[in-house]
Amino acid sequence: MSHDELSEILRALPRQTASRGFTTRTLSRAGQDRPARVRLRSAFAIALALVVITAGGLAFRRHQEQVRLQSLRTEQQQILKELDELKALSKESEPRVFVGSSGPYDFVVGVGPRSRTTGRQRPVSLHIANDGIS
Amino acid sequence: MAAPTDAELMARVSGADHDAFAILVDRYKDSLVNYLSHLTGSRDRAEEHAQAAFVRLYESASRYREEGKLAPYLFRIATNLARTEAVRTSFRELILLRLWRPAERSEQTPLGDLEQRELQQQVSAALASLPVAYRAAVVLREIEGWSYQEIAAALRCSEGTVKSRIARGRDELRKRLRPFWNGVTEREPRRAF
Repeated sequence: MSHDELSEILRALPRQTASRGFTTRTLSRAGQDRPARVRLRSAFAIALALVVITAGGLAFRRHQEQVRLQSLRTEQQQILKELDELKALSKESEPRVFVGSSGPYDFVVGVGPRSRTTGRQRPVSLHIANDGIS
Repeated sequence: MAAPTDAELMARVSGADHDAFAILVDRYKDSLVNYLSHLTGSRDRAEEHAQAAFVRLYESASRYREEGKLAPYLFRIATNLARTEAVRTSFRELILLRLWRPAERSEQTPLGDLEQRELQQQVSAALASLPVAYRAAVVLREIEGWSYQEIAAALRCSEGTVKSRIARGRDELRKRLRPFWNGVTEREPRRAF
């Protein structure tokens, strides 16, 4: 099929024309549609703006809540950490009471478990301040 | 008295002159409906789109800047409407509709014989199966007889692109029509004897 033959076939296709009353219908539609379309567009724009504002407000509020929650979690973790440290400290260190000094000696009594035989608290350590010997 | 130009009519339309608008509608309605019929594959849809295009033209009359290209401007609106619809409707549906409703086009031109009718149906179906970009360019060039410049203005692309689309569209049409065309040309000598 040559170029000219194809062109000829295409040109020979039946032409469509507008139906009767097309102009009248178009004119009436042009007269009526404009306000309706404008109203529709305005309503759509307002609705869209409301949706955007609401969604934005909700997103901002949610973000703020998340920030606050995160801050509370951090604070809670800090408290728990400090509590753990205190617990560990209380387990590790033996409570001691400074009794007094005599010359180069400091007398420190450990508050450990009571003696099973006497039932009394016994000194568990002696600290000599001057030479650092316990 | 010379007929008013498109520019004069559009100036009057921007002042809500319905008579001027009616003249414009009468001036372009047939070519627009014919173009859209090939683009959409349906005369009813073509009329709907043509009406919508004219209404948009009416609404945008105050914003319209005359560059001597009212027809490309109007056809661009119509093409965009048809494209939007093509996105909504599946391409296959358009082709089937085109094949199933060929009688819509038969009322305007008296058809010679069955072969001629068949050929027109095949050509229409092949045309409808082209991508919209190729179809629009081919229809405007081959059927409406527009210049490359006018088509470029209507489809908002360069003249080079228009030429390329038309060439590719023609190639596609030839490929799709080749089996049928060979059959027709082979039968012709037999009929002559």
